Amino acid sequence: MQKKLALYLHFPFCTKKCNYCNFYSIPYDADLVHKYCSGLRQEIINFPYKNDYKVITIYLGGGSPSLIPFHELVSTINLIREKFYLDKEIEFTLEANPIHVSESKAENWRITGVNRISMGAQSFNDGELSKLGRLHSSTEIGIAANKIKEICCNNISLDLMYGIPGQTMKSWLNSLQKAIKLSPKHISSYCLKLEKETFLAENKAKYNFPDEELERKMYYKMISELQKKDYEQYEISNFGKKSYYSRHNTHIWEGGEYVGLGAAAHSFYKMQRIRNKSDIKSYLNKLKETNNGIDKKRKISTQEFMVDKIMLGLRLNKGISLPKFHAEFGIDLLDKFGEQINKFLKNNYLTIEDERLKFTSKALFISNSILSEFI
Amino acid sequence: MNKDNIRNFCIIAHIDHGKSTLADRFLELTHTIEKGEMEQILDDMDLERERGITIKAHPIRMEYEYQDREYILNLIDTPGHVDFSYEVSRSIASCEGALLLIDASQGIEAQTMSNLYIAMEHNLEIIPVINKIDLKAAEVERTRSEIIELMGIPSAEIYEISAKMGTNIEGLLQAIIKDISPPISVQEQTRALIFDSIYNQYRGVIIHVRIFDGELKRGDKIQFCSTGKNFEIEDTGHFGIEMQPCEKLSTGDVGYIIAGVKEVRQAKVGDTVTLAKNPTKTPLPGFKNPKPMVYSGIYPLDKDDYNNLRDALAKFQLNDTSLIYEPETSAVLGFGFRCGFLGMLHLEIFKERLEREYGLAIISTAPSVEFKVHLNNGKEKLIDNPSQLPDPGEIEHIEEPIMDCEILVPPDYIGNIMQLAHDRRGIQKNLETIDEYRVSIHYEFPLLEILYDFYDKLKSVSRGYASFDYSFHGYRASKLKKIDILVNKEKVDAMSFIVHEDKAYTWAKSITEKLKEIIPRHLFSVPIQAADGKRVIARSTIKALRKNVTAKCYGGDITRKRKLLERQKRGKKRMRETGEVNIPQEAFLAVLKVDRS
Ligand SMILES: Nc1nc2c(ncn2[C@@H]2O[C@H](COP(=O)(O)OP(=O)(O)OP(=O)(O)O)[C@@H](O)[C@H]2O)c(=O)[nH]1
Ligand code: SF4
Ligand SMILES: [Mg+2]
Repeated sequence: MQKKLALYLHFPFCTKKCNYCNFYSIPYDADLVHKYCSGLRQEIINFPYKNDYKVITIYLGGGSPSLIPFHELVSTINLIREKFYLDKEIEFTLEANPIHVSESKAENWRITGVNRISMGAQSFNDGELSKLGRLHSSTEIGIAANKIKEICCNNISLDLMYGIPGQTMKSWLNSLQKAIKLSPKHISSYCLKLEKETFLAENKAKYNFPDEELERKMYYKMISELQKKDYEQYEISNFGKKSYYSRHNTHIWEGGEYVGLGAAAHSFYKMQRIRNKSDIKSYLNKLKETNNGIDKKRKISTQEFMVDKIMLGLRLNKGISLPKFHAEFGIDLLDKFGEQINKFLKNNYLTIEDERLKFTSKALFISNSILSEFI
Repeated sequence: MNKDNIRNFCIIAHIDHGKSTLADRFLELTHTIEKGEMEQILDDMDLERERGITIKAHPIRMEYEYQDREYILNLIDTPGHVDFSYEVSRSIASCEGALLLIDASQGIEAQTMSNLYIAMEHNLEIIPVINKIDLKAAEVERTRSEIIELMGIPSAEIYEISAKMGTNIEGLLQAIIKDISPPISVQEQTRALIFDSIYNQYRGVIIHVRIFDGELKRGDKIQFCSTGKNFEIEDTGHFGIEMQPCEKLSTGDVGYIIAGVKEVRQAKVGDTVTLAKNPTKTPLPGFKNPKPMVYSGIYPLDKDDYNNLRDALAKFQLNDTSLIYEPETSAVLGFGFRCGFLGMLHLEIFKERLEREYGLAIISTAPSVEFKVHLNNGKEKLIDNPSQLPDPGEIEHIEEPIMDCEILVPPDYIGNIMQLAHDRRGIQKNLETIDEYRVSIHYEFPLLEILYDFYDKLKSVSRGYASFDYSFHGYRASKLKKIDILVNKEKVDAMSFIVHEDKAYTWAKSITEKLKEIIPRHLFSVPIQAADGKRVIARSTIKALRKNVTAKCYGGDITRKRKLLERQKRGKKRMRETGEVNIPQEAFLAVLKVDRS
């Protein structure tokens, strides 16, 4: 039987760097984009693949893949279709920035096979958007979402952010409501994190960030608000209408294999954790030399994989199936980590339901304190 | 070598006044080493080189021709820090002369004075030397008058040098030959003073001796005066840059003997070596062995390292007889050792060497002094670990160690010093004007009050001008009490401390605040209390951790996330758990960081 594989393609170009972002991305440059996309295709062609895997999802992330010129997009995806066995029900997501969404783009995406758009909304408060360095207004998010729904697909996911400088509970609830009004099928929501070398981190003294207590309240409020509108929380930061959970990410959280292509992409493939060269120049150089973009590759042990599986599996609301875990590793999770698990069961941070071990609601926002005891 | 051609000398100076640098110049001038070969050649330990301080005296023999005669000059470099001042007295007892080395930009420091007095008591010839005359800040004239005042000597006999630039070194070397008298022998029977004894894993104990009378050679049966035990000499030699075996050691010589001694304890520093067949009836005076003043619990960070720690301590003690230790247990820290040290620097260096040379990570408890506890039943108990203090109901009274302290300071700062002394329960005994630039104030201080940050405070209230020396005075009754620390309602035995009644509240307040900063947040809020018996006198609360989540975790984040969790986990491993609270290493030293002014 074919094993399931998730495919990720990275496109590290953006119109302008956002104030909170520390991903590797550079300003759009037509010439470099062409070189990069050719490189990406070279990596696809040379990727060692036999028909032992079935690709169940494609995810085009970035950066801003909504900037990819149509001809580059088509030729790259065509190559993928030629090379890989694609599942008939494939989920094909493209990350879009509202400022890039136009009727023609939406049309092109549809033609290419994109059936899910993940759009970075972040906030529906214009003041907050400008603090984040986003180039769009709140109205533009709505306009973009409607175009996509009309022309490309109905399956839209919106990204939202809390913990933004100056954000109040009121403005957060307002953003949530406006997002819900656009009736996306899925919402991802992150707490703003000050990453090193970002504009916000370097100017943090000038801003007024919500404190941890408020962030915590925003988090739990969001869960209950979304719940009311039938967005089910299925992961720490992800919510979806029934049957609209992100299949790509769920596959990864379940410990499935994935291949990332392009600069700075990561893979977990055949028990190896692989990282590609992160800047475009060294990625392209590496390709020239070896026909792949690999920077580092490390085989992981079953033991390590097991811990990763716990670390990722507990992120999911459904938790970890104890019988399945036993079948896979020959180890009883409750024996192996008896001491920790019992302590957390007792303190009501973990619970077992239907033979599945999972976080309780109050554990979610301090989940690292719990996970670190399994390492 | 005829003993008339031997000169044995040491250098007395304050820390950083330039002894090691001057020694380097001597070594170059006598071609013992070639110029630029190495710096601070007598400081062997990595730690000494790095910190630029001398911890352990290391003797060296130099050959020098002067007016057509070959001379042997034996120099014993000495440490400058008060913790190691017993090393100075060892060298003084083995020499006929001493260079008094003063940094021209600093002047005479309190500690130098006390060492000078020891040398004078031993009738050493003193050659005063002003160093660092190349510095812009050098105050040669002033230093000169200080020395004259101190020693009552005519000014012409003071040497002015720059050890760093090599100025006037040759003249000084010749002065050593001219001014310091050669060794003299007063009796026939052999007598040699042990001034150091060092364990070597291949050769056994290497005994450093100064021969006062007679001689020692291979095959001789020797006897240690204090124990009467006999050994046979296997080897004798001098101290070059390396050890140089030689046929015999004669009157006046400084060198080593190896005699199948297996433990440093058997060849005690200060003991006299004589010949078994014709032993001396009068051993050399020797000198007092230093007594530990500061005690600390030393525990392996990783409990599995207990045996390694025990072995390391045993090895350590082979060469550092001033270190004492015995097993101790703590409810929170587990199995470890109570160790006694000469002072805080000794303790610090010990800890650093344990980590460096033995690769051992340790937790140490806040240093304590040794209290004398008089019980109601008439018995007396020595307590060096506050958690062992008997129940207050059993105690009649407690005595604490008091130090004699000498503070040298420019008259302008007398007021500040008095204020500081008052804060630290000092009793002024005497105030003496040395000259217009300096007064000497004699205080009695409880050791407890000068243990931690006294020196820094002293420097800061005197803009760096004050200097300080101390020695043990005796015990004195005092109103002391024990304060316990409770974390999450559980007493942490290793954090108890003993403090003067009047300061109990301030210390308690400050420590609970400090612990709040050091102990990480937990999933629940953690009360920290300081209690005098059952009564809580200060408290603080560590708020519960409310957020510890990786919101975003996709394909590329997994390794990163794992590393983060590993870091959190490693952090925990370096902690001790009590009442479900993880306490980091530094927390046990919180008492040190408390503001006690
Ligand atoms: N300018 C100047 N600096 C000097 C002179 N002699 C020594 N120094 C510097 O003073 C510092 C201390 O010198 P050391 O020789 O290490 O002092 P020490 O007396 O051996 O110090 P301890 O071993 O710690 O007691 C070093 O940085 C030397 O370079 C000198 O004549 N002139
Ligand atoms: S669009 Fe996305 S990748 Fe680009 S700078 Fe903004 S947050 Fe970063
Ligand atoms: Mg030195």
